[in-house]
Amino acid sequence: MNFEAFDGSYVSRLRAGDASTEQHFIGYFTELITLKLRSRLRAPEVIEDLKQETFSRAFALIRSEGGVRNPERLGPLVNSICNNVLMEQYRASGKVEALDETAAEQITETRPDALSMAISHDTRDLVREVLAKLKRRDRDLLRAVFLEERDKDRVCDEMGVDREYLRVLLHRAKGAFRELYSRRTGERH
Amino acid sequence: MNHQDALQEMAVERYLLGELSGEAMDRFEEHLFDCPLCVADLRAGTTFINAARGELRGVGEPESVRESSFEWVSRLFRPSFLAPALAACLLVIGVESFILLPGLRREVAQVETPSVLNNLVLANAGARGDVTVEIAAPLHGAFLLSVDIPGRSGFSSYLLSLYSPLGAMVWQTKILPQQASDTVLIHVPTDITKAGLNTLLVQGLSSGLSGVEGSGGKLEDLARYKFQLNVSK
Repeated sequence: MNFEAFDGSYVSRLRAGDASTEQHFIGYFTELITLKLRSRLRAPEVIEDLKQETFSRAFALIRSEGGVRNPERLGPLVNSICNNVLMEQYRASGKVEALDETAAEQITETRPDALSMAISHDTRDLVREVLAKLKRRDRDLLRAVFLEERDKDRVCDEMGVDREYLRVLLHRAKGAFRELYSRRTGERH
Repeated sequence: MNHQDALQEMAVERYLLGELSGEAMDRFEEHLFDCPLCVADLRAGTTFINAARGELRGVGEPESVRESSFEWVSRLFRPSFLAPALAACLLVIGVESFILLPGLRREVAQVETPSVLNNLVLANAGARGDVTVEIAAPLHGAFLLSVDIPGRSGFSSYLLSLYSPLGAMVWQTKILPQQASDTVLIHVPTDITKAGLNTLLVQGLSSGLSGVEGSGGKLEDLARYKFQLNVSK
């Protein structure tokens, strides 16, 4: 996704209904909103409904006169709208905000959607290359945590590492993936 | 939270691992929605994790996470580590065969009898500064060190040296790059060192002139793992 600055011009194009700007706006915030909702809710249909509601309100506000007072803060505005939508959902369902780690652990999608299946073919080679350079224990650790979705504390304890080790492992693997990706996309251009 | 805070706290990693909740999660998300750099990093993380799932599924069965004591012992029967230890024990037994010492009997019994050993992982050198970890081991017993050799190429071999709390080198061995590509397991008899702050030094040896070791090869410090050894009687 190409980076676009959120500024007055961007908001004006959104208000005018510019298709490519709308597409960028939806593409940029869909993943963020989905991750945010998935960290707090379980039911996929509720997550989808709340995501749509967030976008609906965001567009309504953007298109209203004086709705966006500070275009550079468009991101926090969308976050705030999503928070309001969430609070209403909690009140409607009579539940206290779900903040336990169990819900938060569902943050990464386990079912591939159409877009991720389309891009995974290109990224699969890069990820395979990153994984091949890891030590076996580190691959086993990633498998236990992200594929088998086992309890992280237990997995770390069994492998004789701590949570900080797991964080650093993920940080390094992600960094290696990003480096490979930018090198390959740079080569193509 | 600003971007530097997010980096310092490894907030993206914590978010991906589901370690954030409550106020911390709210604080990060408020920053995330306003920070294209963190968004890009998060995207890379989710893409990597989702793709890695597919790749990890296709790779062979993982090693059992919890190994039995018999499996630990079978891994110890690697010539490069056990041969020197066995040779030393045989020499002691041969010399002392006519003198019955309770301590020697215990050493032989421990070598021959399967037992569960405490294991200490030494890894991520320099990732978080010098952090001292602890391990407990019985007197006249042993413990295991699982050592990660920092992944840097260009070395013909690696030197592992164990220094006691007094600074004396009590053990040293050389390992090859193919051994260093995976975690190195070291069986350490407690009696070769002392309780206190021990250091395992990992050095890379680059070949000298004409690629011949020992002829001007350079030693480079790669990692210095400190660990507190607590010996129980």
